[in-house]
Amino acid sequence: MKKILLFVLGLSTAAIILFAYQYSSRATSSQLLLAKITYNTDVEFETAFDGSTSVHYFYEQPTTTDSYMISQLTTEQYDKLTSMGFIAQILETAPEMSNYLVVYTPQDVPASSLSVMGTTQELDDHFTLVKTQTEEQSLNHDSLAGPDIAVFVYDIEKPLLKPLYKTVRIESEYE
Amino acid sequence: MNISLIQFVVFTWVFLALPQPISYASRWHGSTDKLTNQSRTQILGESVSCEDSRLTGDYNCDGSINLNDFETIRRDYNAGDKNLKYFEFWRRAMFAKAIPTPTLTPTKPMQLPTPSPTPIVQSKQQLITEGIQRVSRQNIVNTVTNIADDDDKPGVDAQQTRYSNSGGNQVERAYIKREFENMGYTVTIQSFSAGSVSSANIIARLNGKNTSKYYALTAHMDTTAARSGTNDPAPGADDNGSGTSAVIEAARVLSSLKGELANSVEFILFSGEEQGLYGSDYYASRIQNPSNVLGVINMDMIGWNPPSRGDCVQFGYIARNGGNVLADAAVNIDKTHNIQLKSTSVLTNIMASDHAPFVRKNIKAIFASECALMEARIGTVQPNYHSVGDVPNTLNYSQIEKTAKTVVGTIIELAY
Repeated sequence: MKKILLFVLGLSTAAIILFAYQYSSRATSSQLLLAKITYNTDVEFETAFDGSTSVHYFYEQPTTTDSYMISQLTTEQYDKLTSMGFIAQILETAPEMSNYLVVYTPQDVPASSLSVMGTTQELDDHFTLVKTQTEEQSLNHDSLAGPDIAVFVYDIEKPLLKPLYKTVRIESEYE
Repeated sequence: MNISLIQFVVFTWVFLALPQPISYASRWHGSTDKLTNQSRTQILGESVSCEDSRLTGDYNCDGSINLNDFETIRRDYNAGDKNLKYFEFWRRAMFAKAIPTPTLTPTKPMQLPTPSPTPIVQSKQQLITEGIQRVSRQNIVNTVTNIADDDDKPGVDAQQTRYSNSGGNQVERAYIKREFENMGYTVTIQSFSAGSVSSANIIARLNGKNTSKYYALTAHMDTTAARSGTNDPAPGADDNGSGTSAVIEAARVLSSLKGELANSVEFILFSGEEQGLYGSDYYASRIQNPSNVLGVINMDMIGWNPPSRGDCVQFGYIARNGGNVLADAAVNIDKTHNIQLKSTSVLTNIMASDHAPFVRKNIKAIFASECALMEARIGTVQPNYHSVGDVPNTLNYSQIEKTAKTVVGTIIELAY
């Protein structure tokens, strides 16, 4: 009788754990967003970085103003950051990060000229975010966007570690 | 005579505290348990290789020249070996002839010379100057032409590809490996498979006094000609025979500094870059302690610019990465040694090269490239980029030579 009771107890515990795990993982994956978050100061950078699930790219000017990061974040994180005043533009829900590329074009060409690679969004002059259509179409550094357009491609699938330095530059003895 | 336990212990301690006779003192010395000059001859018999090391200043034959060698010389001297020629060899190697020889008398034990910071700084500057002077444009031309053609023999013939999965990549990998080995390096071929790529990186290491901490000088050696709709041939002279040749030439120049630099240097030629930074990503993933990598200088496309721009390479650093100290050091070398590369240290957001996997791991890494690529405002780019037209005779070898000079000086400046 005792053995049966223990067996039932163990089975129930396992079922509860499995249910909870499924629920939490489903909740996380379904609520992830891909967003472009604008920041202007070191404090804002840290807040946005810490407030994201993962940061995959950031673009920064020497003055730090109008810089942005491409982050994955949950709806709760999105709500929290926007309530703090951050401008966070949602690019996609439940993104497949292996489909995203940041493309640099030294030549002065419109982002639409890269549409052969996928869905494009201009990030800044010469920098475009491209979502490739399928994995088969996932174009890498040797992409052929056009005979006269040289493209330099960075795959943003892997997240960045939080940087060690707060400023654009660190003190150097060679300045 | 009966000796109590306490008397025995006291006697033993007093004996150990007393100065030891020569026969004891000369047998072993130092915490490294190296054999002294006398005992080495008596017990082991003098090895020719150790004698050679001593003639280069490495008295205790441990592969490095430092104050431990002086300690060994001093002990042997005090033990009765009055041959001072090894001291002179050590002194010259240690201080690069920058300080006067201390006066030594047989009746007085040698005193440890106190090297002032000034001679060492002069010595470092001397090394940088000599290193810069030793960079050879002809060697760079030879490397670019040799890896762009279809065999691993010297001379130019039919163009070939170094596309990551190709046989040409393997042929030129063997050529580069042999070049490194001829310079005296032990070479590691680091195979990897990622995505559709199965290829290998080439790693040559220059050990410094600290073998854990190191700087890395990198470039990718694989090619593509996707804009021409093919990957064979893909000679890749500028992209990236130029960076590859600069790494190899820097390795040749710096090979003479084995054991002299404070930190080590790795010369790494990646493959799989054109398909998505696969080789560098694999290398970075194998770094167990990122703090051991003091900095990475990655060169990609350093051999072209529009004629109006002249020789010009920029050292780009990523925001919040700290790599600006590497870029600033490079520009400082260019200016102070009048290399005339017209280099600048610039913030860049370009991650599309082999510095990116290091940046992702918070390792200081910079990206050196021709100004036409880095400065988008110029509005043009290497016309032969990723095409069958990227051939050796289209390159600006003066610019590659100056870049190699700059990185040689920078590595000595940083790693010394």
